[in-house]
Amino acid sequence: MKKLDSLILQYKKGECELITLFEEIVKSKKYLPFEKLNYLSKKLDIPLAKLYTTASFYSLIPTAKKGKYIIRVCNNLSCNLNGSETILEMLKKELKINLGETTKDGKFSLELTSCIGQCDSAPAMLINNKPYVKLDKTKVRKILRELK
Amino acid sequence: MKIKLNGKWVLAEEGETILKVAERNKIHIPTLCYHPDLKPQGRCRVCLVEVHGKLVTSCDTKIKDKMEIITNTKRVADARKLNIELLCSNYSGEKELEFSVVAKELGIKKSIFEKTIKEIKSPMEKDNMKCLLCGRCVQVCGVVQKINNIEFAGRGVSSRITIPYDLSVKDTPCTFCGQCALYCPSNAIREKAYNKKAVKTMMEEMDKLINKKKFVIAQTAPAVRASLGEMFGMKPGTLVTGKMVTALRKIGFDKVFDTDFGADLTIMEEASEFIERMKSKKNLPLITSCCPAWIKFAEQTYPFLLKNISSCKSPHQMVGAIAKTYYAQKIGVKPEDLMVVSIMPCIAKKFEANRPELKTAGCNDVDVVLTTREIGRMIKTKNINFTKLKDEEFDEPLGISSGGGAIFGVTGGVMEAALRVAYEILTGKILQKLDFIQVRGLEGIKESDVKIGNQTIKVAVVHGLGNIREFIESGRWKNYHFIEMMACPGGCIGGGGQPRPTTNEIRRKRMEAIYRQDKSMELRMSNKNPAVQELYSEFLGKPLGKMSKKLLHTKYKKRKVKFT
Repeated sequence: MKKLDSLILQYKKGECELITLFEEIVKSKKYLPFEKLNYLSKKLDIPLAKLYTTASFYSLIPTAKKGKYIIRVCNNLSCNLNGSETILEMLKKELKINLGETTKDGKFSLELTSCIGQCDSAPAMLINNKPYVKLDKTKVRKILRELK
Repeated sequence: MKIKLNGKWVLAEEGETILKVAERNKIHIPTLCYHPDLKPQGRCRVCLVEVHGKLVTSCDTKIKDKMEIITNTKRVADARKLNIELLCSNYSGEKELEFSVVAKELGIKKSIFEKTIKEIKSPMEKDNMKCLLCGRCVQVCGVVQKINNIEFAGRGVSSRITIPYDLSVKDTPCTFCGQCALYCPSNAIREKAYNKKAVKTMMEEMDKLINKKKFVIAQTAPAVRASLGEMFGMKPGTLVTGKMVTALRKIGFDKVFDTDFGADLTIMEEASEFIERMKSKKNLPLITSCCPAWIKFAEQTYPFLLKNISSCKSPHQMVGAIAKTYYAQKIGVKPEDLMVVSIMPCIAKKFEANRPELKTAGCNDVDVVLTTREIGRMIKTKNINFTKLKDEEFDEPLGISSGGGAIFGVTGGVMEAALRVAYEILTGKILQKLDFIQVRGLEGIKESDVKIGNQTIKVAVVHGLGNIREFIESGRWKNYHFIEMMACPGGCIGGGGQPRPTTNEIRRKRMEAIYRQDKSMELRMSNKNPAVQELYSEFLGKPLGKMSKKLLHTKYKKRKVKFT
C-alpha cells in the first residue's frame, strides 16, 4: 500500500500512468481486486468504471482472482499454425475447465494471450509469466504432472 | 466555405460535420450510434461516406474547404450494409426500434450470428444478444448524468458493456433513472418487463386478478399523456389524455385515476411544509422529493442533504395510499383486495414502489409500476386501435386535477405549482399572473427571485443528474430557499420509461403539450381542486395534520453502495 501511495503521489492525476499502478497491484495480489481499484478511483478522482475499462483491455491485468498457476496459451499466427489449438483443447480436457476459468482446487487458470515473442519455438505458452516452448502433448502432460 | 456534395457545390460553415451539412441539404445519411443530444463517436460506422476516395464516418468528420463528398456510391452502400449486417449478429429483431429502422432501410432482414443473454438484477435488465456496442448508454450515463456506472470492458470480439466487476446493480450507484434504456437504439437495456414474452405474462397475470374479483385501479402520470401517442405513430407533442383513459378501461382496469390528483395533494403538503420551514428558518432550502432517482442519488451520495428534502411521498405513492384507505372505505373494499397500478414515464418508480417504508394498511401503496413503453406494448398486444379511440374522462374522485398538477411532468413544474399555492397562502390574496415563465425551459440550472408579499424567495430548478451533481458540489445549493430536483433531463417528459427515440427536440414538443394542457384548464391552482378540498374536510383534516403525516409523508436514510 505504501509503495502504491508513493507511486500515486509521483504520478499525480492523469490516466496515462495507470498501467504502472495496475502492475504494482498485480505484483502483490496476482490480480486487481475491487477494493484496490476503488481506492485508486478515489485517490485519482477517476470513475471506477473508467479504470475497469482500461484494466479489462489487458490480458496480463486480471480483474478476477486467478489460480496459483495461470496458464496463458499463445494463439498468434506462428503458434496457431504450429498447433496451439490442439494444446489448448488438451489443457481444457486435462484440467476440466474452459477458457477464462479456474480449477475448483484453485490451482490452475486457463487463458489465451497475444504474441509472447516465442515465434521461433512455437507453439508456446506462459505459466506465471515463465515461457514454455516447442510444446507437444507429452511435454504438456509432463509439465502439468510436475505442477499438480 | 464551399464543399462539393454529390457533385453540387454547397456552402458550409467551419466546424460543421459532414452529417450536419448533408442533413441541411436534404441528403439522407443513415445513422445509428449518433444521437443529436450526445457527442458523435463514429463507432457504428453506418454513416459512412466517400471523401476523396476514402471512406469516413460523416457524424464526426468535420468539413474542410473544397472537400468533395459522395454519399451514394455502390462502395458506400456496400460498406454500410456490411457494417449493419455485422451489428445484426447480436440482434434478434423487433420492428419499431431505431436499429431495425436503419437495418430495414439498408435491406437487411435476418442475423447470421448468435450470442448469449445475460441479465442484471434490478428493475432493469440488459440483453447482450441485442447490444450493438454503440456506446450511447455509456455516454449518457457518464457525460450527461455523470454517474459513470457502465462502461466498455474487454476488447475485440469479446468487448461488452458492463458494470465494473459485473457487480449486482443494487450495490452500485445506479439510480435507475433509466436514461441508458431511453437512449438504447436496440432495446438491449430496458426495464425488466419490456419484451414481448414478459408483457404477455403480465397481461395474463392481470386477467387472473380481474377474474379473482380484485379491484384493479390504474393511475397515469402527467408526462405519459404527452408521449404515449408516439408509440402509435402520432406526432411528438400530441396530447392523448382521453384515448389513454379509454384504452386503459379496454384493457380491463376497474377505475382509471389521475396521478395529477396526487400532484395536487403533494403541492398542498409541500407548500405548507415550505411555509412552515420559512417561518422557523429551519432546514432551508427545502428540496422537492417527487423524483425517486434523485432520492436514491441523494441517499447514497449526499446524505447530508436528507434533512432538507421534503418528507412528502411522491404523487403516485400518495394516490396509492389514499386509494387504499379513503377510497377503499368509500366503496367498501378491503385494502388487500385493491390493487394499484401506476403508469409512469419512469423506471426508478419501480424501485420506489418496492421500498419497505412506503406501505399503508399493511400493503404496498402501489403494487405495480408500468412504464409508458410497457403500457404502449400492452395496448398493442390487446389489438386496440389506439389512434381511432374515443376520448373518455378519468374516474372520480381521484381523477379530478388542476393545471398545477398537470405541469408536474416537466422540469420547473413542481416549483411553479408550489409557488402558485404558496403565494395565496402567504399573502391571502388571489394570484393574478399564474405563469412563472422564469422556471420553465430546458436550461440545466434555472434560478429566480420570486417576490411574494414583502418577501423575496430564492428558487432554483435543476434537472439531469449531471447538473444536480455540479449544483451540489459547487455549494450553490446553499443560496436558495426552495429547490426542485429532477434526475432526468427535461423532467419526467424525458424520463427513462418514455417512448424511444427521445431527443431534446422531442422533449421540447412534449413540454409544450403539457403547458398547453395547463393553459386550457379552468382549474389551475392545486388548492382549488374540489376533490382535494373534499378529501381534507372528510378524511385528512389539514395539510401536515396527524392523518396527512401518517399517510402522505415518509423518511429517508443513508444508503450504502460499494462505490460512488
